[in-house]
Amino acid sequence: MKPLFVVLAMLFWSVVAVGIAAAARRGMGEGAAEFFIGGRRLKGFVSGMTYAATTYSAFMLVGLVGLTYDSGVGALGFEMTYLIFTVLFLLVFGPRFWLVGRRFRHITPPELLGHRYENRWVAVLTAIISFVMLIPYASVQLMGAGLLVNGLSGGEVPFMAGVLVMAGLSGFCALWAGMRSVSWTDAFQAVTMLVTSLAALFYMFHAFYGSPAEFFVTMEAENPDLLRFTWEPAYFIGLTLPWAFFALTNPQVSQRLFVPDRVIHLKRMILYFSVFGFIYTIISTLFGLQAANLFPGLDNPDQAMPHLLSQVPSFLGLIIFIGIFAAATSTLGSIVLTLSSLFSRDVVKYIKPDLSEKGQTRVGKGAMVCLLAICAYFAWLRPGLIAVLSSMASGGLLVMAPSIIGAFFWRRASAAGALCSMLVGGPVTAVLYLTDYYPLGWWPPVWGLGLTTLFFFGVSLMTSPPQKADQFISELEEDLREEGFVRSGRRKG
Amino acid sequence: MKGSHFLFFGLGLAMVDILVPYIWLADEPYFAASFLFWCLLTLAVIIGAGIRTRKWGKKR
Repeated sequence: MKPLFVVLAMLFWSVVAVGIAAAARRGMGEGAAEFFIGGRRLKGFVSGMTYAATTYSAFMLVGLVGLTYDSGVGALGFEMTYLIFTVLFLLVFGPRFWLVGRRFRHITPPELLGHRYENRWVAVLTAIISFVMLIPYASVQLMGAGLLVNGLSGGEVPFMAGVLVMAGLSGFCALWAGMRSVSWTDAFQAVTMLVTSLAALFYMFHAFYGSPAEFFVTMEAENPDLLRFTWEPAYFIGLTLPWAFFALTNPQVSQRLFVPDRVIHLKRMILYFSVFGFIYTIISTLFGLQAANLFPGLDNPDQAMPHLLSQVPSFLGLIIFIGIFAAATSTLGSIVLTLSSLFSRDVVKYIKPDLSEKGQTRVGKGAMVCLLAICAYFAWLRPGLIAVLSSMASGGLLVMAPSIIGAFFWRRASAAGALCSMLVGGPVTAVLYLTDYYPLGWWPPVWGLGLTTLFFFGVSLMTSPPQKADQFISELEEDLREEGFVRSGRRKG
Repeated sequence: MKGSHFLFFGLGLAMVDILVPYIWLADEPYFAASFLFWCLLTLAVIIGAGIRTRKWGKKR
């Protein structure tokens, strides 16, 4: 594809996104909650689409397509398992986050944990873990954009041009009006991602196979191995486990549970996201299978999608390129916004408790700029395969899962249990990843989660729970019944 | 959903999600095997979510 087209498409998309972000600022109020979580006034469609666009990133049309290209239907199983557990966690924890966030005016998930465990260090530690793990994940979004731009233009447009344009765009969207501009652009980007990829998929069915049915017949005849589930159990579980808990452990998505305006919008958010995820996952894996059938033997599986795009008419290729670029931009913007809120509310405000609301927003904006610079540097280093790097981020965040689940369900859960579990599980997971050591063949997240759970329960049982833990859970159960999330006749939520 | 119900339902779902493809479908080279299974299982969970959330927001 001509490099000029790629550059023009990026510019066009940037202008549209900037326009939407600017429009989102109208009607924006003052204060940290307004900036970081849109004043808890988002409607169902925007909430659902910002959740989807934050979750589904460049990984889907670059990493997942590559994974399917390389190892077949197991990639669909991995991604669908993630979706199944995300829906399940949203049903159980969505109302809990939403209710507690409203009652106690929480803005970040670590803030909620710090309050429940009556210990600020729990909030600080979860914020630090989020920083350490999410910066590589955010960098992956930049790498995805860089690889795509470079691959699509036949190497004419430099990798770093894609990286820098995307960093600038997501930075603008997040800085301009915080969650409002991020969520509005996310909604637009989510629709763009879905429509463009669906159009491209059907074009390819007809252009290369004649019809979708013919594609299925051809795949079964020519690539039967890709339809067999050949993943080793340890690989499947190791890759899937951290993603299954993604909805709970990744603050950029759990923070979105604070934003819906009313219960109906929370409900719609969950359902719109679920349907979006289901369709988008199928589309991505079908792209991977198509690429494997059309261009076998690529050295780097992550180049499968750019290869596929180079085979379609320029106009269509550009549209899909915009869709992928949109996916990466929205995820990056959301992560940067969330991390900046964590830095402002859970780290700086801890050091300087009298920091004003305006000051918190200012600190958050400064943090955004620094974070984007760090992510761009990380992308410039270009570490290994995209899927593995993304999985490492979620693997590290997995150590927060027992503390989050325990906060809502276990009255005995203590601050010491939460702190010890994360302080042991985090470094162990990181060391196993960094040394590439898989004891007994099992992946680091499996060991990390096992150890974390053990320490969480063990230490909690040996220490006293927070004074108001019982009251916290009882009031939450009452609120759940009051709002119709659970049946009235039942004692517990 | 009670904590214990959630735990058992989640574990049961994980078992079905992992074991069915490994035991019965792994060697079948068709779209109608593992591919279809995971699509249908996910769809069932989404429909279940739709049913489960129907009464949300109807205050006591």
